[in-house]
Amino acid sequence: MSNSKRDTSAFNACSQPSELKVLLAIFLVLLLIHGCATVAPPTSPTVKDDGIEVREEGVEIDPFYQVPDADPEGTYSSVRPAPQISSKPTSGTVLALLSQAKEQEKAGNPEKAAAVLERALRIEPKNPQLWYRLALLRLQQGQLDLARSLAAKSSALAQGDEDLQVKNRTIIEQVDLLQGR
Amino acid sequence: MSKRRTHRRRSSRKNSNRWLAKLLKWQNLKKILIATSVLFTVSAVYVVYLDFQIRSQFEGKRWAIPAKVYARPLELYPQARLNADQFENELQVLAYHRSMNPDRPGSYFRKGNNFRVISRSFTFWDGSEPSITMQVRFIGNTLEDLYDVNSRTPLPIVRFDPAIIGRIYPSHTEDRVLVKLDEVPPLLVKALIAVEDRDFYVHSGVSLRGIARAFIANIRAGSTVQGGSTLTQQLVKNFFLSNERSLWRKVNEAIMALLLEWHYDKNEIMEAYINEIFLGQDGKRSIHGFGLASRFYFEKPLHKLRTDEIALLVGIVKGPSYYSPRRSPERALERRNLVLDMLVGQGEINQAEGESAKGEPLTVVPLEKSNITSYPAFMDLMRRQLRRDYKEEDLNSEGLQIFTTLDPLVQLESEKALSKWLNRLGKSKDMPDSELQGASIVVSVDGGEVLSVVGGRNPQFAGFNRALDAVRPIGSLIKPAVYLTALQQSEKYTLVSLLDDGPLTLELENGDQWQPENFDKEFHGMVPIYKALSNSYNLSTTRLGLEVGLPSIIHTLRLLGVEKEIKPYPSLLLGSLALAPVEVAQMYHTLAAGGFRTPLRAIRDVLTAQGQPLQRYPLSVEKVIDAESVYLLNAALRETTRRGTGQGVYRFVPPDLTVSGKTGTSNDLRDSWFAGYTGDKLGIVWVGMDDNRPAELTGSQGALKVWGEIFQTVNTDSAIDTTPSTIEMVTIDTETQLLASSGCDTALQLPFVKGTAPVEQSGCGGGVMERSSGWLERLFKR
Repeated sequence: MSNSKRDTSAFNACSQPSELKVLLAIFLVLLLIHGCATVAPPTSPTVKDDGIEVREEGVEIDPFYQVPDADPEGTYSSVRPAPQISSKPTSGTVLALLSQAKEQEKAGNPEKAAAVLERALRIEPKNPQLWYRLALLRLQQGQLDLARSLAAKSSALAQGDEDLQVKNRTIIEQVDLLQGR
Repeated sequence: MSKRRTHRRRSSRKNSNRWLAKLLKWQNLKKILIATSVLFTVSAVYVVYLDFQIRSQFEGKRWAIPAKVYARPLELYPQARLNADQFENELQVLAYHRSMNPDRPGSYFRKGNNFRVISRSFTFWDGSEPSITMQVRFIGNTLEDLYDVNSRTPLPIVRFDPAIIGRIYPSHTEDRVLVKLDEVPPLLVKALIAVEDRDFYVHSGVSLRGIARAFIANIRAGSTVQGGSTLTQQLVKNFFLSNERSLWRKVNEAIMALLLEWHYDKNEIMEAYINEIFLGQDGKRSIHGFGLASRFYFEKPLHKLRTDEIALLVGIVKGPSYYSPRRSPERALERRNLVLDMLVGQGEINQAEGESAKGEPLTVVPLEKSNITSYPAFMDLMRRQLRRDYKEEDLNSEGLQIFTTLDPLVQLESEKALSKWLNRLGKSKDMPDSELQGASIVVSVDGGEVLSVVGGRNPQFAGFNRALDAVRPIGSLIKPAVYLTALQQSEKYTLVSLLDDGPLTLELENGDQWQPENFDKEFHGMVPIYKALSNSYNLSTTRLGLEVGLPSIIHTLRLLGVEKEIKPYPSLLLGSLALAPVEVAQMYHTLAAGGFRTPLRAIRDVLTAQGQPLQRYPLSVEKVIDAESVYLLNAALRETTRRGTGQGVYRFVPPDLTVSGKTGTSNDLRDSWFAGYTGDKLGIVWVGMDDNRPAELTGSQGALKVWGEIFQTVNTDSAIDTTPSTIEMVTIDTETQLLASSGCDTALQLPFVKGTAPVEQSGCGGGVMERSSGWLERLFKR
């Protein structure tokens, strides 16, 4: 259990990876968000100038893209088409928590957003979307190892959900890139 | 005669004059002055010493605001798995008040499966929860409806205030239920003053009036009915815990009382008194302070006490043993009513209140129910994690808030299950009471949160914590590590690979011959892997283990999370490795979580008094074993509970619950183990004797029953394993280990890494090959 010492330090982990890598991570994430927000979804992977392959389609980098800003009564389903092979649909409870996490994220409290996502995971521990969002949040925080593991966990639970598999793979690829693997 | 007398008188006067003259001589005066000043200095030093003593006692208690320890908050949401009774149980743990007309936060009304609850507001680190008036409806084990009464809208989720499970000084071990003066019912303070020290707010530590009053009262009564000690003197007496009755002690007490009054104000002294005074004995534990006493006698927090209960506690201050409401209820009742009369007499309560309170019977709970040490085994784990992960100086900061993962419902059911089965099993073995011991630990599968820890058959007893410290050979609980190591070589081993379970002789390093045996002393010939594991065959396991190699198995154990040193002896293969239940939990957790290792955590957050996180314990996972081999292993562990050594679990849990499990029994039936997990919870149970004598129970005869009882009552669900894309489900004829169709009587669906399943048809069931990606299930009974 001693490795938890390292894990628990994740709260302060922004200082762990080298600053350069963090900056690079933030840059990449911003780049992806940007691409997401402005580029009409093309259907095939595109290669950006810097050589990083970005799959525009299906790579929603905003972890809360599914959640509208203020919507207490679920109209969420209309925001995004259902995944090809859906596991259990995300419940209203978890959607409400996702919306809370989004608010925390917007308010500049990523760690609080993570705590809310963990709360949601206690309710739906096998929901791969939640693991993915936590992975994304950790990536944005520069907690690369954790992001990679969480994305792997999401993938393990998202068998058959090609869409999510792609997103998780993207996270893992980014971590590899940042870590120079 | 007279002359003579006169002479004598004169001579004596002359003598005394001479003595006086001598005395007045400078030399002697100096000696006297020195003697006096020495005496004075010694007294002064002594007083300073007393001052130091009393102040350090007082400061030590007073300045450290203990850390509050919370259970996990209950989360209510539609479709939550919870029934009405469990919910009410939780409300009681939270000290919510049941009432016909709930009107304030912390009260509720229940009618059958319907509740109206007004929750308390609470500020968590990640957000505030307002007080909500809600309507809750359960159907069976499911929360069906949840809506806000005021706005008449459905509520997606409600997070309750978390139950306080303890107030601790993180850096030392004492447990107390400390209260602040403003949390204390005002009547308690008034009653203490009325009964024990009427001049409390006037005197300066010692009260001559009090002494005089007591003296008169005692003379009138013809016996000691009142003491003359002030509350301050009593407090001093309590600090030093001696029952010696001497004048010297009285003087010391008086001096210290004066010193205390000099340094501190009345409210500070009153608060210390309320937290310090001796109020009862529980075996070796002294019950100090009204906060703890309130739990000890009434099983509720101090602020919940009624007038008659406050009067009883104040009454027993005089002699907690003599007026023990459990041992001498009549005497205690009489004393309580005397206190009530005094309260009426002093105008603190009115006549009617006094009479009504006197009409109440004693409501003291039986000793075994007095839950004063809430969850000592869990608290022990929590403290160890605190000390492991935090800096000493952080822990010493005041007023920390520790949010733990404890689930009071799971904890309660685990305690009940362990006590019940240890009693039954002990009786069936004709063992003396309380000889058979056990421990359990329950963990959430994906988050690695420790939901409950029970350290022995008496869960309230804060003694040897077997869940953390009973390091015992794990027997066959080692086997999944052996098989997992093999299954990782998917090109070489599948679930139907045949192993030789025939006689085996090994030569050990020291030249000894070792002949492992099966539990049934039989040889089973060639057996497929899934069967060798589910039936826990020793010979085939030993062969397989030697084939894959001890270092590889030790490597697997490391990956699973076993940290202690493991020697590569062949006996490892049959479970000579000794682990504590908590270590076994870590190991099996990785299997339950599909090959992702998460350090088990008992703490979610630690906040400072200002509500800032000292450090969080974020959810972290690490992929250590590939999903495919864990998936294959889990299929075999599900076979274990369906048809193997663990099938006894289905005498407890419903047949549609998917359980992966493994029994373990050490040499000579000394230790009985069971490790098992469902979709969301993992439970480890150990049963055995403290002195290592054989408990004469196999894993399935002992520990499995405790596990079954726990999982029968806690809410849990089946694994929603997603089958890895590299895995295919194949129907196998269990007679030939070849492909079968679903028409085959001996067919079984098993997972295979794609491309590794047998390709030959057995012909059983019509010879049509059946492949599907469904669930592992037995299609037909054998």
